[in-house]
Amino acid sequence: MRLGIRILNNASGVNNLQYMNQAIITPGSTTIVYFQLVDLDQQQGSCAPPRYLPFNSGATVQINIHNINVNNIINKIATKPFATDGSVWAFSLTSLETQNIGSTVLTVTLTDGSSVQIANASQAIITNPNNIYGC
Amino acid sequence: MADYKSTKPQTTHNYPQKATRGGVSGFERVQPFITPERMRNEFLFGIPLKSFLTGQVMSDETLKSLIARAAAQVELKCKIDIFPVQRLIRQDFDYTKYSQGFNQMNLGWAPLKSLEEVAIRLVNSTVYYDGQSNQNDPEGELIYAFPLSWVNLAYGYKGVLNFTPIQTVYGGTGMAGGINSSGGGMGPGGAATLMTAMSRTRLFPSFWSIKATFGFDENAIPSPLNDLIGYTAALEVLSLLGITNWATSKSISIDAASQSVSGPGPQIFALRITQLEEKKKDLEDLIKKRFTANGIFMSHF
Repeated sequence: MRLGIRILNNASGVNNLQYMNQAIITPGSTTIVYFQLVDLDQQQGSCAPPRYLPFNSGATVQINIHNINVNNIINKIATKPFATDGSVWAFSLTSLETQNIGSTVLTVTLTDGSSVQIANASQAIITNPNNIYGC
Repeated sequence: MADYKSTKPQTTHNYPQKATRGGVSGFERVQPFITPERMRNEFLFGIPLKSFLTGQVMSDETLKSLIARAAAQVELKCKIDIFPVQRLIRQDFDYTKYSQGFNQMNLGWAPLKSLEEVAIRLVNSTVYYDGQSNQNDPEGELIYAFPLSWVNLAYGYKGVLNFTPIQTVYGGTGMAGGINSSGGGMGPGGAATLMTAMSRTRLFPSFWSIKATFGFDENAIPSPLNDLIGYTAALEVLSLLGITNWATSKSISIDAASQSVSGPGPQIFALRITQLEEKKKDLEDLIKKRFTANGIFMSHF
């Protein structure tokens, strides 16, 4: 099994979830990022990889968003927003965190019993400029 | 990840160059990183992202990968950092640069976002003898860190630094006035000895150790750079798609009825490719000219 993730929309119910290319964040706003665990080894041809359900109910998912500044690295514990779908996870970002967010890569670590799987999702988080006039 | 407890940020914007903080108005000059949606709408408008041979559709994951690769190419080709990168650069001590250029240091990358350290470090970085480490600082033991307030960042947008005040306090017997080591290591007396040694030496390889961050603010890419990334990625996409349109003519006939169709074949996107290549070349030249120090050269011969 090779862990991957797919970003989902900010849906109110499990039946309204849609796949997104990336989560787009505006600095200073609070947001919740939803994503689905997928198994990249099960991908058939050009079809999207199927979802992945952790075996253990006590499985945990940690999030890391890298930043060049050690003080702005974001580490989060994701939660399961929908009890009926164990492949869907979410984490929230505070106003301060979206203000200082760095990398476009989202690193997800799934600890499922003794198994640890890590996924690096490229360009999963796209953040608008903090200051649209200059940098 | 890097520690920014000690840092000297650029006083002005890196883009628009030299604009004061908050002194910019009007339209959006910086943008977020390009997404597959923007790629399709702005750089590949109206082009079906589908193989003419197999019907295979180019996925958004593929577009993301091409965008990331295009950004890496732009960074290499233009010698510019798009997202911030902190580097540890060793520079030779060059007497000509020291005495005539206010210790000019051409760092080789641009634009400078912030300066974290200008120091003299030993070369005794971590070494393993029979599997045992000598436990030294991996960057080399710190002898002396210069106060960052002495380093002139005015030419940082081209990746060039100077020590402006040093010339005014250096005397034949060493430093006049107080120098405080900002990062530990040798104290004022030690620095004076080093400065004296410098006046007797023509060239000292890898003498300066500079830690600096280059690039633009996180997630704020100047729109011309985003355009260059888009053009580069679009060229790759069109090259992949064009070759799948192999047939220049197709004809079919049944009994007395026949139909034939002619087309450009693999040359289907030739005009667009030519246009994109021209735009890419112009932008590359402009970016290299504006952000790098190719025209500045000073050395001891």
